[in-house]
Amino acid sequence: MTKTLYFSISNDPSDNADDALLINADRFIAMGPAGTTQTTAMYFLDRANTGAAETIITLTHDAGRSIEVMEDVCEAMSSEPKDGFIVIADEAGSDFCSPYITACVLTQL
Amino acid sequence: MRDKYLYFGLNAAGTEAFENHTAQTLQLTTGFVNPIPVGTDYLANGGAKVTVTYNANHTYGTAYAGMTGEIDITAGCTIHAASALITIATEAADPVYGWTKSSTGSENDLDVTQLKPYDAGDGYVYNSRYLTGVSVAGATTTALHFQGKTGDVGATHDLDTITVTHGSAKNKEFIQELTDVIADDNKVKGMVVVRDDMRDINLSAQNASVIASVEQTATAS
Repeated sequence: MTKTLYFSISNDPSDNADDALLINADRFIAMGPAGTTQTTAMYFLDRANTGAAETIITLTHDAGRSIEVMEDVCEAMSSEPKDGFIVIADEAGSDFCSPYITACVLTQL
Repeated sequence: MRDKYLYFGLNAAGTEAFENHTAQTLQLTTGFVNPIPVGTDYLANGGAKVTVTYNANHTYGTAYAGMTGEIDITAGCTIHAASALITIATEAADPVYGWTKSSTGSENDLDVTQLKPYDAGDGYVYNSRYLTGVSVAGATTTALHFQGKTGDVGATHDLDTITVTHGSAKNKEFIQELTDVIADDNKVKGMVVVRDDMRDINLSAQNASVIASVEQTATAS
């Protein structure tokens, strides 16, 4: 099964460049606290497949909840929905895989 | 085989001691963790605990009745949203969870201990898909090599290396314990803690390979 992970920032509708991202779950490399009590970063192989850049999603969440957010994200990525479509953080649609996530930011380096 | 998500808690818990303390407040500094924690819910969400060494001249809320030694008084504490100033409610203000210091400063010894990671590098989840190799690094250390978080591949391929310390000559046992987890599509789901130095959690309760600690020994990001 091909799994995909969906993210959107707060713009609704998500119709501008980088308002939202759907990325193949296979491209997820790593995840960890991002330097504040309220942020956790997800690192992916570059969505543009350049092999020399990274796609980063920074999740904003309740203070001190990074470990719970990582557990919830891993649980979501381990799920097997029929359509393979897994929402991690849809800020525009107020749909999150963890009750602690409140927002997300897309960074393309 | 499905992807497994392997967690490595790399940093030990931050701590800050307040010995012979004369105030009812505790100002965390970068000596605790740099940067200092932010968010008014940080303590309530279990990010850290505040403990005090029992003294008969303290006044304790009813929740601590009969306790001695190191007493966890986090429930009576609040933290400023940005400055990391912890205020401990007095017993008069909170008869259940409050605590009132002794008027003699030398009788007030408190500690703040980090319980959950938040600093960059405190810990990482890696996708088992990008475990490119495992190598023996020494009698008590085994190195796990992952595709680097930079995403750089090809000629500039980056690696992140996590080194696990375990019992002497237990390298093969550790590797087999790890591959048992990675290969198990029936029982393994979600995030798997391989080793967490902050919370002292190992891959299995039995800990046959005597895992003791973990660190990131190489990273390109």
